[in-house]
Amino acid sequence: MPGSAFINFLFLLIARHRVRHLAIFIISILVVFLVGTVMMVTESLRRDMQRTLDDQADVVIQRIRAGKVVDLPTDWVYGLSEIEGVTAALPRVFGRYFHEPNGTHFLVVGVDPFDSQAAASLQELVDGLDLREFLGGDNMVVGPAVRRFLTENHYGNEYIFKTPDSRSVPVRVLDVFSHESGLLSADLVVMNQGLARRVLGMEPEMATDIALLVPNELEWDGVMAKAIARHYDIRVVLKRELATAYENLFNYQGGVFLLLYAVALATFLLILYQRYSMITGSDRREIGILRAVGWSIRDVIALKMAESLVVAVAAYLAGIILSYVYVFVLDAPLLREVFLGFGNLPQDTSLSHTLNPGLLGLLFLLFILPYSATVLVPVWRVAVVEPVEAMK
Amino acid sequence: MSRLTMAFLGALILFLLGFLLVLLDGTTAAEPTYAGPLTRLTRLPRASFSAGWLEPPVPAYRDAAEEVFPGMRPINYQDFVHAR
Repeated sequence: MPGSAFINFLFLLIARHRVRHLAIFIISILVVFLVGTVMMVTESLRRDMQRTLDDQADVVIQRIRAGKVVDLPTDWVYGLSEIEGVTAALPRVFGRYFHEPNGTHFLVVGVDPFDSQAAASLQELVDGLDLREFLGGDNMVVGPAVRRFLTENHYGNEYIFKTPDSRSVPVRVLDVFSHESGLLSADLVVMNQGLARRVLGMEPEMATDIALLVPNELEWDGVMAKAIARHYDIRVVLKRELATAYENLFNYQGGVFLLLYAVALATFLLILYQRYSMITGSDRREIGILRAVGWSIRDVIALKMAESLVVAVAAYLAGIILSYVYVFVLDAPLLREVFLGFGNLPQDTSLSHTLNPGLLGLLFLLFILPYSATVLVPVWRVAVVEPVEAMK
Repeated sequence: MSRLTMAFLGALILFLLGFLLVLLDGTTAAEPTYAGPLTRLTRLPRASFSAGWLEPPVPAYRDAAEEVFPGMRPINYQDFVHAR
């Protein structure tokens, strides 16, 4: 354990070489900040995605014709729900509605009036919503970005959808999803299934696809095989494939940034090596005096390593604090658009607060270990200088 | 201990406290409650197209599958799942 004299001398050295340490401190903060923000944004989105995966359909049945996904008849649900292991088969009605003047898309989703779980969820999401009124007429609940779009374009509380068969369907905005849910509901337009079919130009007894709930994961492959045996022209998507797709996607996006980090870190370490390799006359005299008064090479190396590690650890802590403030207090301006996209309706949702201590530990190792290794060699070269030579 | 040492130790302790606060806030923050109900309502994996995780960050990466095969799905590994 170093004594107080060692610690006093250590901080005295840091203060003496403050210009050199300040430059390294600032660059170190930038390096940690760069990778810290990417890790935090990715982790937050990944967690949000995993939360939605729990309530996803376990198996999705889509009809494929000539390489395209086409609508399928809703009466397929009777046959599919008879497959062993399937607890519910739910026809889904959804699609994109393109608003041509602005080049933006809404995601129109139809709610089955007889789906009690969907009705309960809608009630949970929108306080005080009159379900009877919502499902009974031409009404919709919209996401926050859609609401803003309607306001900015002077649509008020009614929007007139143009259907593919050139009819106009006026729909009243009954309520808005909360700003917090913007990550998932920004461009969402929820209405009853009959109305959604009219807006999307679908036949009355057709659905976009069918979602199957199969609680036992071991039965998913069996259900898929039986579904294909019943309907040859289908594509089956399992929940685990969806999870893998998301994982790969985040790894790809995060990987691009980590690659940038690797390049930045390598450059930084090179600068660091050069900086510590430049031994000035006063540095040599300093080491020489220490050696002359009885310090061993090991003591000198310990002092010099401690000097650089104090700077590195302080920079790491400051970098993480700044990353956290940037991502979760300021909502990661610029970086959020890179991860969330900026092609459709603009959204200003907040990222959910989440932090993985394991990732912080990994970042600590990825930063401190190369840093220490880079500093060690020049420090050793300084420390082994003979006292007589050093003081000449 | 000298005043200089005390000042440096104070600064380091402040950094450490800030880091611990960040860690505490990040690991104990309440989970958002909207994800479950919204997913049960839509049954869709990613309800919002505006949150385009599939939108590539670099435009040049966008492949031309849609232009080359208008309206068709590009062949991917899901087709082999289908074939199975």
